[in-house]
Amino acid sequence: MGDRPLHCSIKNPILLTVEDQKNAFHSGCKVIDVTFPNVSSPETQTVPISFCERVGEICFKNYYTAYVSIRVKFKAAPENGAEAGEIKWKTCVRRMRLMPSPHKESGSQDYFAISKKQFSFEISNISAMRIILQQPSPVWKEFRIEDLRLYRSSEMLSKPPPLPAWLTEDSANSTKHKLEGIPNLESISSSLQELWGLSEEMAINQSKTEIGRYEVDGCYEVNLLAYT
Amino acid sequence: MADKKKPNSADDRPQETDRQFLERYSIGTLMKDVLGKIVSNRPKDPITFLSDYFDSLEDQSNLVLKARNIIEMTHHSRPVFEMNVRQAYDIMLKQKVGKRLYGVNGTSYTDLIKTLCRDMPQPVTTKLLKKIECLDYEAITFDVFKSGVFTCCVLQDYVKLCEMLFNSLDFQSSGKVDKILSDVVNEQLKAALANTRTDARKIVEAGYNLGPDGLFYALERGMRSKSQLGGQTLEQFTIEICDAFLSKVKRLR
Repeated sequence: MGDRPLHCSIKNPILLTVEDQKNAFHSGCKVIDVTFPNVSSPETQTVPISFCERVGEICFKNYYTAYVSIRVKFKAAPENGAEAGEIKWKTCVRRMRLMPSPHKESGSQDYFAISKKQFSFEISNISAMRIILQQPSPVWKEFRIEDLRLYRSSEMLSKPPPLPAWLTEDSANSTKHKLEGIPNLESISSSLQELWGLSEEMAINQSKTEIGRYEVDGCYEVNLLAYT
Repeated sequence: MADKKKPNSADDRPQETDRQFLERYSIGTLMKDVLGKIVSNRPKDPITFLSDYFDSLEDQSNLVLKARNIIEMTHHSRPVFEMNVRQAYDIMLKQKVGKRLYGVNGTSYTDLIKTLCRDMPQPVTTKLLKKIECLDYEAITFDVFKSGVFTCCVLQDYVKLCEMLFNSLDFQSSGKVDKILSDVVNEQLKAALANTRTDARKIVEAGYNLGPDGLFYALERGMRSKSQLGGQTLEQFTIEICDAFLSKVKRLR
């Protein structure tokens, strides 16, 4: 996740239902549509195109979703020039298990990052993406995914900042520090820490009340007095 | 004729009992007071405390000195300290400021600060006064008074600690500390104090830098520079270390 997330438009999840007059039941399946609005030059295009070159990584936070599938629609390649090509939806990630047991809590609120390795094929030149959420368990009232983000590539573009010294310092080495000419490093260190503590204590107890001066820039300006 | 003269002794008033004698000089109240003060202040050395207390009783005229003695009765970390400061303020309120006007004004406040800081190097006191001084005619509220007095008492402790630090840096007991070491130490302290109080990460970092490990690295860097900057006396050292403390003192507006 080295770079900023891709700019995309994520629609609200739609619950798929199977309904007829007598039976209406919760199917436990939701779909999230993702398009990639591209601002192409307004003179040549009248219809905004949804297009994305590449998706390397998909990150989100789970909320009680058991399985997730991802299908992508490729940019319709005009075959004859007369009509747009067929709409092809291909499944990129098939029924990835997020919760080891759909009835149980584990994995229900975890963070997931689906990387290129888990894709069946490389996602490139797509026009839309559908994320299908499934939760077969009747135990949960609601399920969704949150904070969905798509990234262009999953390589780290820059190394993370190195951890500060106080986090990585091995305490076993610290006792071996002996500087020549300085016999009592500990006592110097403890005096310094006491000085630090005293100063902080004093700083906390400073008075916050004003002394009630009317001075402005060090001189007493009668014209600036007011009744308030 | 010498033998006819009666010696001037207790025979003159034979009826006075011990109790009446004590009451004549209100020794009872005096003793009760001092015992109460010992119990609430818990001095480290009660005998010295007692002798100082009785010495100060004679100094009744100078209100500032009286106030100072009360403030110095206990360490600033004890809860009784605040009560003592309040008592000192009440005493100083009796100071006459003008015609029929009594209170604590800038002059007496500055006098008190100066006498509380009598054991510190003069430049330190001057710099402190620049930050917390009040003009002579200004009225000092208790809040400002308490804050200034507290700062002075903490500074007294701080200066004593500076001396201890000086002695531990002075390896050959020559009376002088290598300026390089003193600079490194000062820098570490200033860096620790420069951080804001609320940033937890900076606080941990500051703690590490002042711990034996961080200090080791800083001192190693300093000693590798091999430049000879001479030595520093205790007074110069104290002045520089106190700069870090004074940077945290809030200037009175």
